[in-house]
Order: sequence, then structure tokens, then C-alpha cells
Amino acid sequence: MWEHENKQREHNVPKLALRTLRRYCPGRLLEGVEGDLEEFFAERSTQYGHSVAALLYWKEVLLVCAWHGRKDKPAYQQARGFVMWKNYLTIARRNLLKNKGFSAINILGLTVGMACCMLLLLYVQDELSYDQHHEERDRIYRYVFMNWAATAPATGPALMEEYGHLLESYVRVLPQSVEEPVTYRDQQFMESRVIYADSTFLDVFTHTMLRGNAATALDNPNSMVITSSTAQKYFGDANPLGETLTMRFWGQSFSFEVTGVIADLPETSHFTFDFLGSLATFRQPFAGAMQSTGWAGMYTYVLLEPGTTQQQFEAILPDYLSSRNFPAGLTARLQPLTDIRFDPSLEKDYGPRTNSSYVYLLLVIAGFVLVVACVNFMNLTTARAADRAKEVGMRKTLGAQQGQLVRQFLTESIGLSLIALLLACVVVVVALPTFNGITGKTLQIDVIRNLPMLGMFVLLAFGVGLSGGLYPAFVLARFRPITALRNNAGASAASTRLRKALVVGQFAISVFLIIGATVVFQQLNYMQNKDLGFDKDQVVMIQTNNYPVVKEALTQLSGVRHVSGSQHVPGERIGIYPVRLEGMPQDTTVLMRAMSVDFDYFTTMGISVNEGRGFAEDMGNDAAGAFVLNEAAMRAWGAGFGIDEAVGKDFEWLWGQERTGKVIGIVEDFHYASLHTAVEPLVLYVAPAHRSALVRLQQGRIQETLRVIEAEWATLSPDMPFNVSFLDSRMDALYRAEQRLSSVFGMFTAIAIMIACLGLFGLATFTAEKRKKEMGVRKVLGASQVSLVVLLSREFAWLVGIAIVVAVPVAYVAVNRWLSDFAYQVEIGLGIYIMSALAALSIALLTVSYQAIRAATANPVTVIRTE
Amino acid sequence: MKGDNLGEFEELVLLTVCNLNGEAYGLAIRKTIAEEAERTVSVGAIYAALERLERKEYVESWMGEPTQARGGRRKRMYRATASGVDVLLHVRRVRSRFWRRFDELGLQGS
Repeated sequence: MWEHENKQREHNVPKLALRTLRRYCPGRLLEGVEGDLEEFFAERSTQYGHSVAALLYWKEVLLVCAWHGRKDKPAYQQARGFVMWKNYLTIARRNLLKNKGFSAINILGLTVGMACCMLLLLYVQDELSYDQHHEERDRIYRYVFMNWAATAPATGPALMEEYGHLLESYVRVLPQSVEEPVTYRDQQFMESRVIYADSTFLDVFTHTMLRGNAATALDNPNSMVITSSTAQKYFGDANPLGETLTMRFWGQSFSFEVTGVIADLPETSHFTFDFLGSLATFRQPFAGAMQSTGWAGMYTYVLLEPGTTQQQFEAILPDYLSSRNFPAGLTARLQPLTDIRFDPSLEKDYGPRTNSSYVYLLLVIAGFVLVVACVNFMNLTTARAADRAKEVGMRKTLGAQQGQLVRQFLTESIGLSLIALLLACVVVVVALPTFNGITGKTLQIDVIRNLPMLGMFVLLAFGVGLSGGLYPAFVLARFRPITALRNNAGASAASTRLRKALVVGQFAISVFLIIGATVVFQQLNYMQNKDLGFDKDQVVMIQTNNYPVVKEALTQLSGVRHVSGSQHVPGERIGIYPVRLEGMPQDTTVLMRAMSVDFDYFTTMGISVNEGRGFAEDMGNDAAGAFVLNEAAMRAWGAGFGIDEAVGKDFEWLWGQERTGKVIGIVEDFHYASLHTAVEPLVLYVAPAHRSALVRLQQGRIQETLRVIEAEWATLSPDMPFNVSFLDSRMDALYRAEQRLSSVFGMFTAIAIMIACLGLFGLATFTAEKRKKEMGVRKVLGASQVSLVVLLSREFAWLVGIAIVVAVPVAYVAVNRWLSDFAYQVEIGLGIYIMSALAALSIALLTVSYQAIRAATANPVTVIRTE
Repeated sequence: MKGDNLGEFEELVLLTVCNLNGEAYGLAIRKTIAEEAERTVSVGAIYAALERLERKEYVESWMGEPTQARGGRRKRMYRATASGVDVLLHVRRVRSRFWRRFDELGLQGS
């Protein structure tokens, strides 16, 4: 009868819980308890619903099991449920406190390792979350033509017209690339974070609309949406809707009405703007540009129809290109939104980008540090446990069962690792601001988001604790009491070998990291100090809108050596334009970077003209028809004549106001971009006015001269604030990513080494302890202290040696791969490897020496006496 | 009997068994304690106390009728033995002495 009823009921009660209950509940109580819980479940079900009832049922079942222990062993073998675990914890605590030093080292190593790993994971998580906040992110792509991130304005509408069945929408974005004044009533600020976009921008991308209507905010021309901190800046707490902002764009002023306010953009967005204006504003004033098919001026994003895949859309692109008469061989593709952040290779890209390989590198480092720490922990725990054979023997004699001993050791070991985890969390919270400072990010601990990671770490702590406790738990616990008590059976040969292997592994990783960190640092140094082909020191750049006047005035100052100007400063992207060189057929053009400069550019910058001459004001035709090329351009020309014959050849400039002229000189290659890329062909020509004045200042009088200039600035360049920057710091900034990598790498290498040393120290301590008597005897027999130190250290030196042999080849391969990404690499000689190896060796010996010396100098009498 | 001290929780459970007057079983005891003493205890803890009480021979148990609500399982019913009642009375006597002294102080709580 019971069985039949059971089948009816039981499909409501969680089956697994019931099975567990039956396994662990004492026999005579089982029926009563089962029935009680059945009633309980039914009551809670009607009260709170099935799921809650199931949860509560599980809780009750587990508590019954805890209270009443196992049911399937005879009474004398049953350890009482809860009670025994409390005992394990007590013993664990006692052991911990008994060996405070050892426990501290152990926990410290693991804590630091876990904390570092967590920090690095937070960083990686942040990086990978770029642009993830857009709801439609899986359907948003950027149209990329060849390797250009920006495309012609006409592309968007054309794609929509012909392939509208595949596209739900498109958005074009036109960033304002320079600083322009923005005016509200009588306040004016220089702003550069301005973009103009089609009205679909707010539909395609997800932004929190605080005021205004997302669907219509950008529909009309002259409407603008601003971020909430911008609203605060210009309007305070007042409602900005309806107010007018005056913007300048391409030399003209426009009035915009504020039609919306959005929440500030999250850090993890490749868009960086404070102002979002409607692109429709420029439909008439700049009609030509807005409909251009050749000017790569806008970023075109497409939102695919649901169900359309990236491949499907890319399949029609070849047809599209040929229908628009693009020459064959040119390709276009779709770049997923979330890839934008990680691809630094595209021409004219927008927003800060990083190399995805750096992210992976950091992941690898995080992994390494963690591995080193965990290995350490296991090593130390195992070593310590070997000493407890006597304790095991004792316990067994007093009646402990093997299972209990296993549980005891595991409890101790897992307890330690959980403590380490707890401390690691504390460390992470405390160290986060500093970490943010170094990495330039603003990471925060978001418990909800990071819960999976935390869970993973808890599992890891259990895993590490488990593996650390494995040896004592299973090997020691099996010892027969007699053996354990009598022999002081300590480490078996196998366990010693394992421990040594672990030490080798740790040090191999450390050596690898040392080499890596050194190389990164050297490459960085190299890039920052390499001869750039121009003199970057004592040069400042000042923005101006009144260049001729400024140049005139500044040249008079005694603190100023040269004044010049250029369209772009080194580090800024130089535009690519079509040009034609002599010897090319009439209808072909070549794309080359081109920039306008001032007559005195080469003198000011210290660039040497190798053939022909630089620009000169007194040569009448220079202003209109002179071109200077760099050597790379000559090499690319491949025109069948040498560099020395290039002067005097024809040159045509085919963009906007076309001009033809002659090559008047060739300059040496200078690095106008970062050293990540090789110097590309460049052509320079003269223009009368420039956005930035390049001023070479007299050494030693820089601040004084700047003050003088600043005082006069209002008359020299009205309407523009005095905006000065130093060229050398600007060049340094190009390598920000590498600088950060270098810091992070260096820091974590140091940490990994520290952990490895902790482990080595612990090990050395034990070895020294163990061999105390041996040392005593040797001393009595006449060994010198030095020879004893050597004896003890030799073993460890040998281990480190193996580690070095293992690590160096791997490091060599890795280093070469990383360096191959740079067009200009620093020379990595054998010296670096040798230095790193020696460093690792010395650190190891230093760590060991303390214990070795202590053992060697101990009084043999005291050591041998205690027997 | 006077040597075996009754744990605080055991005392509560034993009292409840008496008060339920023949209707005392695991879940009922749990519910009463939850309502009257405003304490939530797990079924496992209750049975642990009952087992201890049974071992000290303060309660005895027998199997009751099966019901539909329990999927046809029988209830294990508990009732206090004579020595159980004795120990409760003893405990009350001792306590009362102390409480009387306490009341004379006239302490006011918060």
C-alpha cells in the first residue's frame, strides 16, 4: 500500500533529495522522517509554490543527514554527523596556529597568486566587454573597404537601396576630428568629442535616453543630443531641451537645438563623444561631401535583418563593388561591432584600440601566476605533511579510521586555501585603486557580474586545497601505525621527486617571465629613444587659427630658435591622397600619404634633406608647385631611376585643388608615425597657414619663453585658448599600450618570483630541519661552514639550473614572435638570457642561503644532543 | 534521574511532546515550537533531540496510522514517560526558585 501511494506522491518531491535521505537517515526513523517531510513539502507547496518548496525540502533533507550521519555502517563505525567535522576544524585550527610561520608563508603565497589572477581577470573581462552594452550587438557590423575603416558617405544609402532586404538599417558616423569651440549663450568651450550621425544612430546603438525621444531626437537637421555630464557642464541642473548650442564645423557655424540627453557613455565603448548631432544638418551646406563616392569620410555601420548572417551579406559585396565600377581585386567586408576595439590594423580608425594579443598575453600571465601559486601551495603542504607520519601513527593507535584521517587532512588543506581565497578578495578590493592607476582603467567590483568568476575561484580553492591535501590524506593515512611510529617515515623518494619537479616548474615560469619582462622593457625603451629622423626635444606645438601672425611674432622672440607649422604633428594620422608620378600612365594614380608644411619645416624639425633642397620662400614656385618626398616614397616609386636622379621629375597632386609641379628634394625617412609601422612613402608640399605652430625653443629657457608667448597670446591668436603641448611627451604617448604592458608585466613577474621564492624558502626550511643532525655530525667530523652551505645549496642550485634550461628556449621562441609584430625591433642578444638566468639563480641561492647558513652555523652539540 | 541534565532544546521538545498530549510527532513538534517559541528548527534537529530523549527514556514512541498526506507512510508518535514527566516537574521546581528571586528585584527590561 505504501509503495503504491509513494508512486503517486513522489513525482512532486525532489527525487534526488529523497534518495539522499534514504541513504543517510537511520533506519528506524526513516519512515517517520520521510512522512514528515512529505507533509512539510505539501504544505509549503501550497504556500509558496513548487520551486520554493523543493528548495526547503532539500534544506531539511541535508540537515537530517548532517544530524544523523551515515546509516549503512554498524553503530560503532558511525561517526556522529556534525560532531566529527567540528573536530576536524579544531584540529586544523590547532595545526595552523602551531606552525604559524609555515602557515603564513603558505597562505601568503596562495593569496597573492589568487589576488593577482583576479585583478588580471577583471582587466581582461573589462576589455572583452567593450561594446557589449548594445542590445543589437550581434547584428551590428561596420563596413570596411580594403583595410579602411572609413568609407564614402554614399555607401550607406547605396547599400540600403539595393540590399534593403538584408539590412534593417544603417548609420553613418562623422566624427569631428579636431577641437572646435562650442558656444552656449556667453559660455564657450573647446570640444573635440563631437560626432554627427544619421537619425538611426539611437535606434541601432543602445544608449539610455534620459530626456527626449530616442526615435525622433535626430530626425531633423540642426538637432543635437548631449551626454548628461555635458548637460551639467553647460546648463547646470536646468532642462537643456530646446536650448541652442552653436557649433563650428568645417569653417562654418551652425546652430543646434538640444533634443535629447543620454546617459554618459560607459567606459567600455569604442564611441567617445559628448555631443551627437544630426548629419542631416550638412545635407545642403556640404552637399558635395555628403554625397561623395570617393571621400573616405564616414564610418558606415549596418544593422542586419534578423536572420541574415555576416556571410550572407558579405556574399553580395563583390556584386555591389563591381556595380559601382570599383576595379577588380578590391574587396570589402563586414567587421563585427565587438571586433572594432581589438583591431588596430585598419586605416583611419576611430577610438582607442588595443591589440587583442595583449589581452591574451595578460590572460597567460594571470594563468602563470596562479599556477605558480597553486603549485607552491601543494608543494609546501605536502612537505609539511610528510612530517606528520608520527601523528598519524598515534591517531590510528587511538582508534582513528582511515576515512577520518583522510577527511582531517583534506579539511586542513582546504581550510588553508579557503582562508587564502578570503584574504585574496580583501587584497583585490584594497589594491584595486592602485591597479586602476597603473592600467589606466576604472575597474569596479560588480558582485553580480563577477559572481561566476568568484564561484570559479571557490572551486579553484577547493581544487588546490584538495590537491595539496591529497598526499597526506591518502598516502599517510594508509600507513600502518607501527611503521609510522617507529621509522619516522617521512618523505618517500617519490614525493621528494615530485616536490623537486614542482620547484623546477615554478622557477622555469619565473625565468620565462623575467626574460619576457626584460624584453618588453627593452623594446619600449628602444622605441622611445630611437632616432626618429627629427629632433623631438624642446619642441612645443601650439594650436592657432592665425598662423602667419603667430609665426611672425614668435620668430622675433629670443627664446625661440625656429618656428614652423604643419598640417599634422608626428603621431597624428596623415591623410592618403591620389598622386601621379612621372613615368606613370595618364589614367593611373598611386595613393600616398601627403601633408602640407611650412617653409621652415625641415630646419625646425631637424630633418636632413638628402637630395636636392628643402622649401625656400624665395624660390617663387615653391608655394604652388614644389614637392618633397621621403626616401620610402622613392623606393616605392620604382620608376627605374635612382634617388639622385629624382630631383626635377614631375609630380601631380590629384585631390581637391589639383596641382602639378616638380620634385625638388628628397628627405631622409623620419618617423611621423609610431614605430609599430615602417615609414611609409610621404610627400610634402607648402601651404601658407597651419593649425598648429611647431616651435623649437632655446634650451634652458623653455618655461620663461612659454610664459612670454602666453602673455601675448590673446593678441596673436584671439578666439583660441593657449593650448600648448610638448612634442616629446606626445611621441611617448604613442606607446602607452606598451608602457602599461611593461608595468603590468614587470609587476607580475616580480610577484611570481616572490611566490616562487616563498615556496623555495619553505622547502629550504624543511630540508635544513631534516638534515640538522647530518650537518651536526659533519661539522664534528671537520667540515667547514662554507662547505656545508655549499652542500645544502647545491641541491637547489641544480634544480634552478634545470629550470633555466627548460625556460630559455621557450622564452626565445615567444620573444621572437612578439617582436615580429614591430617593424622596428630592438636587438635581443644572448646577454639578456644570461642575465635573466643569473638573476634567477642568485635569487634562488639568496633565498636558500638563509636556511643553509643557519644550519651550517648551528652548534653541533645542541643538534645531536636531542635524541 | 536528577544526574541527567536536560538540554535547553531537549527540555523544549519534551514539554511540547507533553502539551501535544498524544498527538506529538516530528512535524507537529516543529510547528508548535515555531509558533510558540518563535524558533525555526529543522526536522533533523527535532529528531536528534527526540532520539536523545528516547535514549534517556524520557519519551517513548510508537508507530501511528498512515495517511494520504504522507504518501501512505506511518507517523512515529511520541509521548512522555513517567520519568520524563518527573524530570520536567523537577526542572520547573528548580527554575521557579530562581525566577521568584528574579521577580522580587523588579527589573524592567528595555
